[in-house]
Formats: sequence, structure tokens, C-alpha cells
Amino acid sequence: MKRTLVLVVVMLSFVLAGCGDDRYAMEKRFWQAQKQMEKIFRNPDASPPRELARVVAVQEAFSKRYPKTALAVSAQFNIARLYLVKKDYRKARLQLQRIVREYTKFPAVCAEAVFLTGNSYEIDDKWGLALEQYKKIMQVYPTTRRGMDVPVYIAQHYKIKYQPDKMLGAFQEASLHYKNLAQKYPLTPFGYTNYMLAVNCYIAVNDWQSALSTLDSMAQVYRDKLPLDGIYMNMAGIYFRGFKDKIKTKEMLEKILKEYPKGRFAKMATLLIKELDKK
Amino acid sequence: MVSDKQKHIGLGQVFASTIQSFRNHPQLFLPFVVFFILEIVVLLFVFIIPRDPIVKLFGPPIRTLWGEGFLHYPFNFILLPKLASLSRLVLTVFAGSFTTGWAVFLVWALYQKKTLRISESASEAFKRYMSLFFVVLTVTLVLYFFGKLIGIGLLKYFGAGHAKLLFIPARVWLGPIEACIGFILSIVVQAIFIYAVPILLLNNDKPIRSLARSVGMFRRLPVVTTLLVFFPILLYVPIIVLLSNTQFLIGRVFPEFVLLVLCAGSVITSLVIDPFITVASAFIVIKDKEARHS
Repeated sequence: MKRTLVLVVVMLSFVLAGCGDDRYAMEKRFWQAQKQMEKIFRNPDASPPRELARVVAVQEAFSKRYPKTALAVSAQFNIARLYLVKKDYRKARLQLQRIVREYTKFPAVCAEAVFLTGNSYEIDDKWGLALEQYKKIMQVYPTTRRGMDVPVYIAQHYKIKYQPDKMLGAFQEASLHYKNLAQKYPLTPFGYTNYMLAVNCYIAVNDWQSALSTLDSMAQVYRDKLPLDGIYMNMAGIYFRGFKDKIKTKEMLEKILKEYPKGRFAKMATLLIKELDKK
Repeated sequence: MVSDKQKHIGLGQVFASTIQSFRNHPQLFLPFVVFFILEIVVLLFVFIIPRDPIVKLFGPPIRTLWGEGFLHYPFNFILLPKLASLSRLVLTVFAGSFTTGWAVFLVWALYQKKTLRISESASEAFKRYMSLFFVVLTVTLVLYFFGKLIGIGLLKYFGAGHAKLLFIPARVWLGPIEACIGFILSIVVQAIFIYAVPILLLNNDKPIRSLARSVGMFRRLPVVTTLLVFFPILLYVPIIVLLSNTQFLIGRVFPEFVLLVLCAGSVITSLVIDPFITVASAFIVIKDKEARHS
């Protein structure tokens, strides 16, 4: 009895003192490493190289101590970010290449590493090289979250830089890319999302007709698989905003009420019809 | 009929005799020390919930009620004050009811000039445990629901689309004003029911009657009773301020600082505020009883 009590007390003290090497202890160590890193992020120019080397070593030690964990991957990325913030782009890219090599089996991690490599070229004012990296993500890791974001990211870059022709081209390329992916993965949530992304790209450049025909083909593809009220609502929006066609808008909203009277958009459709009738 | 003696129970006199009692009879602290130890044990337990192997058993309710994030370092410290407060409520009902009764019997023994028999008082409190449990549960529930009521009311009001109330924006209402109203309300509710336990034990009343008589005593001595609760609770204000800024503490100091603040809060409530209020209220009930008999 006494021995059991001593054992319990010793175990409890270990846990309380943070000596147990469980998930929680790992998270605590990661947080402490992050805190050290924040000092450099706050003032990268003032932090001496020795400090950078020390913080990099801490992150490195962490990823070695807890290999094959999500936080170990974050620590590896942190090293790259530290080099980036210190404008040591060569070392940052080497670190990101290392991540791609080590985590080949994890497309999401690789896509993130390639994206950050692209970012490093962007910061270095080398858009051409950055674009190469972003295109690589579109080709090699299209099904990752980053892969889905990148086409619009490229278009947004041109928008911010006031390059309308390139922006239009990028949005067209993006919508084509999304449509191809949607057709490659038919009747899947991924395919549906890509169709919607294509529609958004058309809307971004006011290509209402293409947006509408894409939604129409979506309705054909997903007719027996999904409720179509979301698609109809988007179509109503396009008729209203793009074509200023109140009759078609109302028709679409009435279609929602007819086919999905208890659906998630029924209430909104009723309200919008009332609004349209007022005008 | 209320006699003059009953009307003139001075706050200074009560404060002085309470402090004097603790100085002359430190054994009076014992019930509160027991409660404090329990509270610290529960607090430490709540603190180690995110760790293996405890997380396997106690993690799922936290995950369901508040989210997965609060089982991870350092976000668990954001939830810690709430968990500590809830566990204190439970502990107050189950253990606090007994320790308060124990303390009241010790005060009664002291008043009767008997020697302080710790175990005898404890056993007397134990005999009345169910009644004590009922009274403390009622008071705790009233306190809890009144506290919730303001928050829910304000959320409903601003959720309905109102941007301001009495020319003050939602941000201020849901922040400092809600905290202040909650604080004042907790003082008032505590003051209303503060005499319930001493009346229950010293007058040998039924639980509901003792709650009602406590309300009556509060109506007779509103200022003394409110100040009796208000002054000691002022000590807890810095803890409330610190705990309402847990994210700041985590980011700017260190996450474990939240635990230290909670421990300091336990010291203040369990070893200063509770002993003072309990013993002082017991003295007032005794004096009131004495006045009625004379």
C-alpha cells in the first residue's frame, strides 16, 4: 500500500514537473522553441548570426527528438522561415529542398515547401523563378490544399502589380486548370470544389456566360448525387449581378423553392423573391 | 419585534472579534485548510488533464464541450480558469458545505467558551451534512445562474442586431461592464444567503427556512452584510483582472503563470475570504440570537 502510494506520488510529480515525454511535453518544448524564434522574427536585422545559429539548432534538435510528428515538420519549416527572414535565401531554399526530399510521401508538406521556395524568389524579386515553383505545385501537387490555392494566387499577384492582361490570362488558365481537375475527379467532393473554383475565376473576370455554363454542366453532372440548390442559388446570383436579368433570377429562385422547399436555401430564396417583387 | 441590540450590530465590532478569534484560536483555520488542500489537488488534477494517460479518460468531455484545441499546450491554460471555477463550484457543494458547517460549529464552541474540539465539531457537521449540502447547493446554483443570466441576456440583446445599449457599444458591455455587473451581483447574492448556514446549524432550522431567514437578516442588516462580503472580496479583484487576460499572460509572461494565479486565487479565497466571511457571519448570527434571547 505504502509502496503504491509512493509510486503514485512520484509519477504525479514527474507529470507536474513536465518530465514526462508525452505529446503534451512535446508541445511545450515546441512552444518554447517558437518563443525563441519569435525574438528573431520581431527584429531580424538586429539579431546576430550566433543567435540565429542557436535558434536553428534548437529547432533542429526538436525535429530530431520527435521525428515523424507534425510538429517536427513545423520545426523544419521554421528553420527555412528563419533563413528567409534573415534574407539568407540560399540556405532557406536548401532547407526547403531537404523537406521535399524527407517528406516525399506527403504531398501536402512538399507543396508547402515548394510554395515557400516560390515565396523566397518573390521576396528576392525574381518572379519568373517564383512562377516556375508555383507552376510546379499545380502540376505535381494539384490535389493538395496549396495546389488548389496557387492558380488564384498567381492571378492575384498580377492584380496587385496592376498587370490586367496577365491577370486575365492567369484567371483563364486557373479556370481551365480547375475544370480539368473537376473532370479528372468526377462525382467527388474534390471535383465539386474544383468546379466551384472555376466558376469563381470566371466571376472574377466578369465572364458571366462561362460561369453560368459551368454551373449548368455541374448541375447535369451532380443531378442524382447532390442537392442542387447551392448551384441554383449561384446561378440566380449570376443572372442578377452579371446579366441584370430579374426574370431569370426569379425563375431560378422559384426553382429552388419548387425542387427543395425544405432545403437550406429555401428561406433565403423566399426573401429574395420578395425583394425582387418590391423593386 | 426587532430589538435595538439586533439593529446595532457594528461592522467594526464584527471584524475585530473575527480577527481576534483567528489570532487566539488558529485551529479555526483547520476546516478551511482542509478545503484549500482539496481545492489545490483538484486544480492540479485539472491542470494535468491534457497529459497522458489522464487525457484518455478526461480529454473527450473537454474535446466535446470546448474543442480539441484546449487539450494542447499552451491553449489548455486559456480554459484552465473556467475548469478551475467549475471544479470549485462542485467542490464547494460537496466538500465546502461540510467544512463551512464544521467552521460554524467551531465558532459556536468558541462562543460557549468550550475548548475547541475539532473532531466533535466535525462530527456534528457531518450529522447535518444533507441539510448543509442542500443549502450550499441552492446558494451555488443561484449564484451560477444569476452570473450566466447577464451574459446570456447581453448576448441575446446584441445578437438581435443592436449595436449599442444606453449609448455604450457591445464590446464594452460584453467586456468590463459584464464583469463588473457579475462581480456586484455575486456580492449581493452571497450577502443575501450568507447567514443561511449559521442559521441552519445554530438555530437548528430546516434548510429552506434557514435560507428564508437569511434573506430576512439581510433585509434587517443590508449595509453590514454587504460590506462584510464586499471588503474581503476586494482582495480577489487582482485575480479577476489577471484571469480575464489569460491570453496576455500566456503570451507575455509564460503559460504556467495562469496556474500560479489560480493557486494564488485559491489561497485568497479559501484561506482569507471564506474563513473571514464564514466566521464573521456566524458571529453575527450568534449575536443576533443572543439579542433575541435577552
